[in-house]
Amino acid sequence: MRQADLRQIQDAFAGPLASFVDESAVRLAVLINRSGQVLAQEGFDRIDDLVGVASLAAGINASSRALASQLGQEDFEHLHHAGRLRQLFLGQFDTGGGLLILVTVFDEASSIGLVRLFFEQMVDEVRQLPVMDAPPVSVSADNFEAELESSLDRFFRDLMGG
Amino acid sequence: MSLVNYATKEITCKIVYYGPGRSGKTTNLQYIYSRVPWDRKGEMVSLATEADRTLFFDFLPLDLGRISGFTTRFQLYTVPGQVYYNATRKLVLQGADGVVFVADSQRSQIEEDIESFRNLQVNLLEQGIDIREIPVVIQYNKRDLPNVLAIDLLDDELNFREVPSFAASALLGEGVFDTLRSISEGVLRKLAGKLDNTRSRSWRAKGVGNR
Repeated sequence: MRQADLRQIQDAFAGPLASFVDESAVRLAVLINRSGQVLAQEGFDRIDDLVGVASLAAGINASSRALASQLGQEDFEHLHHAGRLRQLFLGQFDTGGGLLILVTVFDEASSIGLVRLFFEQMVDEVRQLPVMDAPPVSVSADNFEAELESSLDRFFRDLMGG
Repeated sequence: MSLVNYATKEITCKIVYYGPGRSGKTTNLQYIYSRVPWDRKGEMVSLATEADRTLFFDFLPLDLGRISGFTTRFQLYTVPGQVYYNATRKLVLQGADGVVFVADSQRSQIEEDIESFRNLQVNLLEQGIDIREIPVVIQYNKRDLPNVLAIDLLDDELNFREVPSFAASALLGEGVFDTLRSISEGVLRKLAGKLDNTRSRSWRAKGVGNR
Protein backbone atom coordinates (compact mmCIF):
# COMPACT_ATOMS: atom_id res chain seq x y z
CA MET A 1 0.00 0.00 0.00
CA ARG A 2 2.84 2.36 0.70
CA GLN A 3 3.77 2.63 -2.96
CA ALA A 4 0.24 2.97 -4.22
CA ASP A 5 -1.08 6.11 -5.78
CA LEU A 6 -3.33 8.32 -3.73
CA ARG A 7 -6.15 8.19 -6.25
CA GLN A 8 -6.40 4.44 -6.03
CA ILE A 9 -5.98 4.53 -2.29
CA GLN A 10 -8.86 6.95 -2.01
CA ASP A 11 -11.04 4.84 -4.31
CA ALA A 12 -10.13 1.81 -2.26
CA PHE A 13 -11.34 3.48 0.95
CA ALA A 14 -14.88 3.55 -0.42
CA GLY A 15 -15.53 -0.19 0.08
CA PRO A 16 -14.50 -0.52 3.73
CA LEU A 17 -16.18 2.78 4.60
CA ALA A 18 -19.49 1.80 2.94
CA SER A 19 -19.46 -1.56 4.77
CA PHE A 20 -18.82 0.23 8.03
CA VAL A 21 -21.79 2.59 7.51
CA ASP A 22 -24.09 -0.31 6.57
CA GLU A 23 -23.08 -2.66 9.35
CA SER A 24 -22.89 -0.21 12.21
CA ALA A 25 -25.93 1.83 11.10
CA VAL A 26 -24.19 5.16 11.62
CA ARG A 27 -25.43 8.26 9.82
CA LEU A 28 -22.13 9.51 8.50
CA ALA A 29 -18.53 8.30 8.34
CA VAL A 30 -15.67 10.50 7.17
CA LEU A 31 -12.07 9.47 6.81
CA ILE A 32 -9.54 12.26 7.31
CA ASN A 33 -5.80 12.52 7.65
CA ARG A 34 -4.13 14.10 10.65
CA SER A 35 -4.21 17.53 9.01
CA GLY A 36 -7.97 17.33 8.79
CA GLN A 37 -8.16 16.86 5.04
CA VAL A 38 -11.13 14.77 3.93
CA LEU A 39 -10.12 11.58 2.10
CA ALA A 40 -13.47 9.80 1.79
CA GLN A 41 -17.00 9.96 3.15
CA GLU A 42 -20.08 7.74 3.25
CA GLY A 43 -23.60 8.24 4.57
CA PHE A 44 -25.44 11.48 5.17
CA ASP A 45 -26.05 13.89 8.02
CA ARG A 46 -27.19 17.49 8.26
CA ILE A 47 -23.77 19.05 8.43
CA ASP A 48 -23.37 22.34 6.60
CA ASP A 49 -19.62 22.60 6.97
CA LEU A 50 -17.91 19.24 6.61
CA VAL A 51 -14.51 20.86 6.12
CA GLY A 52 -14.92 22.70 9.43
CA VAL A 53 -15.95 19.47 11.15
CA ALA A 54 -12.86 17.73 9.74
CA SER A 55 -10.50 20.49 10.92
CA LEU A 56 -12.02 20.45 14.41
CA ALA A 57 -11.84 16.65 14.56
CA ALA A 58 -8.18 16.73 13.58
CA GLY A 59 -7.61 19.35 16.29
CA ILE A 60 -9.35 17.24 18.93
CA ASN A 61 -7.43 14.18 17.87
CA ALA A 62 -4.10 16.00 17.92
CA SER A 63 -4.72 17.45 21.36
CA SER A 64 -5.85 14.10 22.77
CA ARG A 65 -2.67 12.48 21.45
CA ALA A 66 -0.63 15.19 23.14
CA LEU A 67 -2.60 14.70 26.38
CA ALA A 68 -2.02 10.94 26.22
CA SER A 69 1.66 11.56 25.83
CA GLN A 70 1.66 13.88 28.86
CA LEU A 71 0.00 11.08 30.86
CA GLY A 72 2.57 8.55 29.73
CA GLN A 73 0.09 6.77 27.46
CA GLU A 74 1.11 5.82 23.97
CA ASP A 75 -2.30 6.95 22.74
CA PHE A 76 -5.99 7.07 23.49
CA GLU A 77 -7.57 4.58 21.13
CA HIS A 78 -10.66 6.59 20.38
CA LEU A 79 -12.82 9.48 21.54
CA HIS A 80 -16.55 9.40 22.10
CA HIS A 81 -18.79 12.43 22.64
CA ALA A 82 -22.44 11.74 23.44
CA GLY A 83 -25.22 14.28 22.96
CA ARG A 84 -28.93 13.81 23.56
CA LEU A 85 -29.72 13.05 19.92
CA ARG A 86 -26.42 12.47 18.25
CA GLN A 87 -23.09 10.99 19.17
CA LEU A 88 -19.63 11.42 17.72
CA PHE A 89 -16.90 8.81 17.57
CA LEU A 90 -13.31 9.56 16.55
CA GLY A 91 -11.09 6.56 15.98
CA GLN A 92 -7.50 6.82 14.84
CA PHE A 93 -5.40 4.09 13.31
CA ASP A 94 -2.00 3.71 11.73
CA THR A 95 -1.58 2.48 8.19
CA GLY A 96 1.41 2.02 5.94
CA GLY A 97 0.76 5.53 4.74
CA GLY A 98 0.45 7.16 8.13
CA LEU A 99 -2.18 7.98 10.68
CA LEU A 100 -5.83 8.20 9.61
CA ILE A 101 -8.86 9.25 11.64
CA LEU A 102 -12.42 8.01 11.25
CA VAL A 103 -15.02 10.62 12.21
CA THR A 104 -18.47 9.14 12.55
CA VAL A 105 -21.84 10.54 13.59
CA PHE A 106 -24.58 8.23 14.86
CA ASP A 107 -27.95 8.35 16.63
CA GLU A 108 -30.25 5.90 18.41
CA ALA A 109 -30.18 3.56 15.42
CA SER A 110 -26.67 2.54 16.44
CA SER A 111 -24.61 2.34 19.63
CA ILE A 112 -21.05 2.93 20.74
CA GLY A 113 -20.60 -0.85 21.04
CA LEU A 114 -21.60 -1.42 17.41
CA VAL A 115 -19.48 1.46 16.23
CA ARG A 116 -16.41 0.14 18.06
CA LEU A 117 -16.98 -3.38 16.77
CA PHE A 118 -17.27 -2.43 13.13
CA PHE A 119 -14.57 0.24 13.42
CA GLU A 120 -12.10 -2.54 14.21
CA GLN A 121 -13.34 -4.47 11.19
CA MET A 122 -12.99 -1.44 8.94
CA VAL A 123 -9.46 -0.80 10.18
CA ASP A 124 -8.51 -4.40 9.32
CA GLU A 125 -9.98 -4.01 5.84
CA VAL A 126 -8.18 -0.72 5.19
CA ARG A 127 -4.90 -2.17 6.39
CA GLN A 128 -5.34 -5.12 4.03
CA LEU A 129 -5.93 -3.03 0.92
CA PRO A 130 -3.78 -4.57 -1.78
CA VAL A 131 -0.66 -2.90 -3.02
CA MET A 132 -1.45 -1.18 -6.29
CA ASP A 133 0.80 0.08 -9.04
CA ALA A 134 1.14 3.78 -9.40
CA PRO A 135 -0.94 4.92 -12.41
CA PRO A 136 0.41 7.27 -15.03
CA VAL A 137 0.14 10.87 -14.04
CA SER A 138 -0.24 13.51 -16.72
CA VAL A 139 0.52 16.68 -14.82
CA SER A 140 3.20 18.91 -16.26
CA ALA A 141 5.00 21.04 -13.72
CA ASP A 142 5.81 23.55 -16.48
CA ASN A 143 2.14 23.94 -17.43
CA PHE A 144 1.15 24.17 -13.81
CA GLU A 145 3.71 26.88 -13.08
CA ALA A 146 2.79 28.75 -16.27
CA GLU A 147 -0.85 28.89 -15.21
CA LEU A 148 -0.06 29.59 -11.58
CA GLU A 149 0.71 33.27 -11.92
CA SER A 150 -2.28 34.13 -14.10
CA SER A 151 -4.63 32.15 -11.85
CA LEU A 152 -3.37 33.92 -8.74
CA ASP A 153 -3.55 37.28 -10.54
CA ARG A 154 -7.18 36.61 -11.37
CA PHE A 155 -8.12 35.56 -7.86
CA PHE A 156 -6.40 38.43 -6.07
CA ARG A 157 -7.35 41.07 -8.63
CA ASP A 158 -10.99 40.35 -7.86
CA LEU A 159 -10.39 40.61 -4.12
CA MET A 160 -8.24 43.73 -4.22
CA GLY A 161 -10.59 45.53 -6.56
CA GLY A 162 -7.88 46.04 -9.14
CA MET B 1 1.33 18.35 3.67
CA SER B 2 -0.37 19.07 0.38
CA LEU B 3 -3.10 16.66 -0.58
CA VAL B 4 -3.34 15.98 -4.30
CA ASN B 5 -6.40 14.08 -5.47
CA TYR B 6 -5.92 13.07 -9.08
CA ALA B 7 -9.40 11.55 -9.31
CA THR B 8 -11.27 14.74 -8.48
CA LYS B 9 -8.38 16.99 -9.59
CA GLU B 10 -8.15 18.80 -6.28
CA ILE B 11 -5.20 20.25 -4.43
CA THR B 12 -5.46 21.14 -0.75
CA CYS B 13 -2.70 23.05 1.02
CA LYS B 14 -2.30 24.16 4.63
CA ILE B 15 -0.93 27.60 5.50
CA VAL B 16 -0.24 28.57 9.11
CA TYR B 17 -0.15 32.16 10.36
CA TYR B 18 2.45 32.22 13.16
CA GLY B 19 3.75 34.99 15.39
CA PRO B 20 3.69 36.46 18.89
CA GLY B 21 0.51 37.16 20.81
CA ARG B 22 -1.56 40.10 19.57
CA SER B 23 0.53 40.54 16.42
CA GLY B 24 -2.57 40.36 14.21
CA LYS B 25 -2.80 36.76 12.95
CA THR B 26 -6.52 36.43 13.61
CA THR B 27 -7.07 39.93 12.18
CA ASN B 28 -5.47 38.77 8.92
CA LEU B 29 -7.93 35.88 8.65
CA GLN B 30 -10.87 38.07 9.64
CA TYR B 31 -10.01 40.57 6.93
CA ILE B 32 -9.62 37.82 4.32
CA TYR B 33 -12.94 36.32 5.42
CA SER B 34 -14.64 39.70 5.14
CA ARG B 35 -13.44 40.28 1.58
CA VAL B 36 -13.63 36.90 -0.09
CA PRO B 37 -16.97 36.20 -1.84
CA TRP B 38 -19.14 33.56 -0.20
CA ASP B 39 -18.67 31.06 -3.01
CA ARG B 40 -14.89 31.07 -2.56
CA LYS B 41 -14.73 30.48 1.18
CA GLY B 42 -16.06 28.20 3.89
CA GLU B 43 -17.08 29.10 7.40
CA MET B 44 -14.39 30.62 9.60
CA VAL B 45 -13.92 28.59 12.76
CA SER B 46 -12.40 30.35 15.79
CA LEU B 47 -11.53 28.62 19.05
CA ALA B 48 -10.93 31.57 21.34
CA THR B 49 -10.86 32.34 25.06
CA GLU B 50 -13.47 34.50 26.77
CA ALA B 51 -11.23 37.46 26.10
CA ASP B 52 -11.17 36.65 22.37
CA ARG B 53 -7.56 35.50 22.42
CA THR B 54 -6.93 32.48 20.21
CA LEU B 55 -7.01 29.35 22.36
CA PHE B 56 -6.36 26.63 19.80
CA PHE B 57 -6.67 27.93 16.26
CA ASP B 58 -8.67 29.92 13.76
CA PHE B 59 -9.47 28.12 10.54
CA LEU B 60 -10.55 29.49 7.18
CA PRO B 61 -10.93 27.37 4.01
CA LEU B 62 -10.45 29.22 0.71
CA ASP B 63 -11.05 28.19 -2.88
CA LEU B 64 -8.48 29.79 -5.18
CA GLY B 65 -10.05 28.44 -8.35
CA ARG B 66 -8.59 26.15 -11.01
CA ILE B 67 -4.92 25.94 -11.86
CA SER B 68 -3.91 23.64 -14.68
CA GLY B 69 -7.22 21.85 -14.29
CA PHE B 70 -6.86 21.38 -10.54
CA THR B 71 -9.33 22.95 -8.12
CA THR B 72 -6.99 24.55 -5.62
CA ARG B 73 -8.02 24.95 -2.01
CA PHE B 74 -6.11 26.52 0.83
CA GLN B 75 -6.76 25.95 4.51
CA LEU B 76 -5.58 28.94 6.55
CA TYR B 77 -4.85 28.40 10.24
CA THR B 78 -3.60 30.68 12.99
CA VAL B 79 -1.75 29.54 16.09
CA PRO B 80 -2.24 30.97 19.59
CA GLY B 81 0.61 33.44 19.99
CA GLN B 82 0.92 33.50 23.75
CA VAL B 83 4.03 31.72 25.08
CA TYR B 84 1.81 29.65 27.38
CA TYR B 85 0.20 27.80 24.48
CA ASN B 86 3.26 26.24 22.86
CA ALA B 87 1.83 22.71 23.03
CA THR B 88 -1.18 23.66 20.92
CA ARG B 89 1.00 25.75 18.61
CA LYS B 90 2.99 22.64 17.75
CA LEU B 91 -0.18 20.73 16.94
CA VAL B 92 -1.47 23.37 14.54
CA LEU B 93 1.92 23.54 12.82
CA GLN B 94 1.80 19.83 11.97
CA GLY B 95 1.52 19.28 8.26
CA ALA B 96 1.91 22.94 7.28
CA ASP B 97 2.86 23.57 3.64
CA GLY B 98 3.77 27.19 4.26
CA VAL B 99 4.07 29.70 7.10
CA VAL B 100 3.21 33.39 7.30
CA PHE B 101 5.10 34.92 10.21
CA VAL B 102 3.15 37.94 11.44
CA ALA B 103 5.48 40.26 13.34
CA ASP B 104 4.38 43.23 15.43
CA SER B 105 6.30 46.24 14.09
CA GLN B 106 6.13 48.22 17.32
CA ARG B 107 9.51 48.99 18.86
CA SER B 108 8.37 47.59 22.20
CA GLN B 109 7.51 44.19 20.67
CA ILE B 110 10.74 43.30 18.93
CA GLU B 111 11.87 40.85 21.64
CA GLU B 112 8.55 39.01 21.41
CA ASP B 113 8.92 38.87 17.62
CA ILE B 114 12.41 37.40 17.86
CA GLU B 115 11.39 34.90 20.53
CA SER B 116 8.39 33.79 18.47
CA PHE B 117 10.48 33.39 15.32
CA ARG B 118 12.97 31.25 17.24
CA ASN B 119 10.06 29.25 18.61
CA LEU B 120 8.84 28.67 15.03
CA GLN B 121 12.23 27.31 14.01
CA VAL B 122 12.37 25.01 17.05
CA ASN B 123 8.84 23.71 16.57
CA LEU B 124 9.46 23.03 12.87
CA LEU B 125 12.69 21.23 13.68
CA GLU B 126 10.86 19.03 16.17
CA GLN B 127 8.83 17.86 13.17
CA GLY B 128 12.00 17.30 11.17
CA ILE B 129 11.55 20.41 9.03
CA ASP B 130 14.36 22.86 8.43
CA ILE B 131 12.85 26.34 8.10
CA ARG B 132 14.85 26.77 4.89
CA GLU B 133 12.88 23.94 3.29
CA ILE B 134 9.39 25.33 3.75
CA PRO B 135 7.94 28.46 2.12
CA VAL B 136 7.89 31.31 4.66
CA VAL B 137 6.68 34.89 4.22
CA ILE B 138 7.13 37.58 6.87
CA GLN B 139 4.51 40.25 7.41
CA TYR B 140 5.48 43.39 9.36
CA ASN B 141 2.13 44.29 10.77
CA LYS B 142 0.74 47.36 12.55
CA ARG B 143 2.57 49.84 10.33
CA ASP B 144 -0.25 52.32 11.03
CA LEU B 145 0.79 52.65 14.68
CA PRO B 146 3.35 55.16 16.03
CA ASN B 147 6.72 53.95 17.33
CA VAL B 148 7.20 51.24 14.78
CA LEU B 149 10.67 50.06 13.83
CA ALA B 150 11.96 50.71 10.31
CA ILE B 151 11.53 47.80 7.91
CA ASP B 152 15.32 47.58 7.46
CA LEU B 153 15.79 47.08 11.19
CA LEU B 154 13.06 44.46 11.33
CA ASP B 155 14.63 42.68 8.37
CA ASP B 156 17.98 42.66 10.18
CA GLU B 157 16.43 41.04 13.24
CA LEU B 158 14.01 38.61 11.64
CA ASN B 159 14.63 38.20 7.94
CA PHE B 160 18.23 37.10 7.69
CA ARG B 161 17.16 34.39 5.20
CA GLU B 162 15.72 37.10 2.93
CA VAL B 163 12.32 35.51 2.47
CA PRO B 164 9.54 37.67 0.93
CA SER B 165 8.36 40.31 3.41
CA PHE B 166 5.47 42.79 3.40
CA ALA B 167 4.52 45.85 5.41
CA ALA B 168 0.93 45.62 6.58
CA SER B 169 -1.85 47.10 8.65
CA ALA B 170 -4.10 44.10 8.90
CA LEU B 171 -6.83 46.00 10.69
CA LEU B 172 -7.11 48.25 7.62
CA GLY B 173 -6.49 45.41 5.20
CA GLU B 174 -3.22 46.85 3.92
CA GLY B 175 -0.73 44.17 2.91
CA VAL B 176 -3.02 41.30 3.85
CA PHE B 177 -3.63 40.01 0.34
CA ASP B 178 -0.06 40.75 -0.81
CA THR B 179 1.09 38.45 1.98
CA LEU B 180 -1.45 35.75 1.14
CA ARG B 181 -0.64 35.88 -2.54
CA SER B 182 3.07 35.55 -1.87
CA ILE B 183 2.76 32.51 0.39
CA SER B 184 0.22 30.93 -2.00
CA GLU B 185 2.66 31.27 -4.87
CA GLY B 186 5.54 29.90 -2.80
CA VAL B 187 3.56 26.86 -1.69
CA LEU B 188 2.17 26.08 -5.14
CA ARG B 189 5.53 26.53 -6.89
CA LYS B 190 7.02 24.05 -4.47
CA LEU B 191 4.14 21.66 -5.09
CA ALA B 192 4.48 22.00 -8.90
CA GLY B 193 7.86 20.32 -8.78
CA LYS B 194 6.34 17.31 -7.05
CA LEU B 195 3.41 16.92 -9.43
CA ASP B 196 5.59 15.88 -12.33
CA ASN B 197 7.35 13.04 -10.64
CA THR B 198 4.73 10.99 -8.93
CA ARG B 199 5.30 7.54 -10.41
CA SER B 200 7.96 6.69 -7.91
CA ARG B 201 6.54 8.82 -5.15
CA SER B 202 5.06 7.09 -2.18
CA TRP B 203 1.65 7.68 -0.71
CA ARG B 204 3.29 9.12 2.36
CA ALA B 205 5.34 11.55 0.31
CA LYS B 206 2.23 12.98 -1.31
CA GLY B 207 0.87 13.98 1.98
CA VAL B 208 -1.48 11.43 3.43
CA GLY B 209 -0.40 10.55 6.91
CA ASN B 210 2.69 11.41 8.82
CA ARG B 211 5.51 13.51 7.64
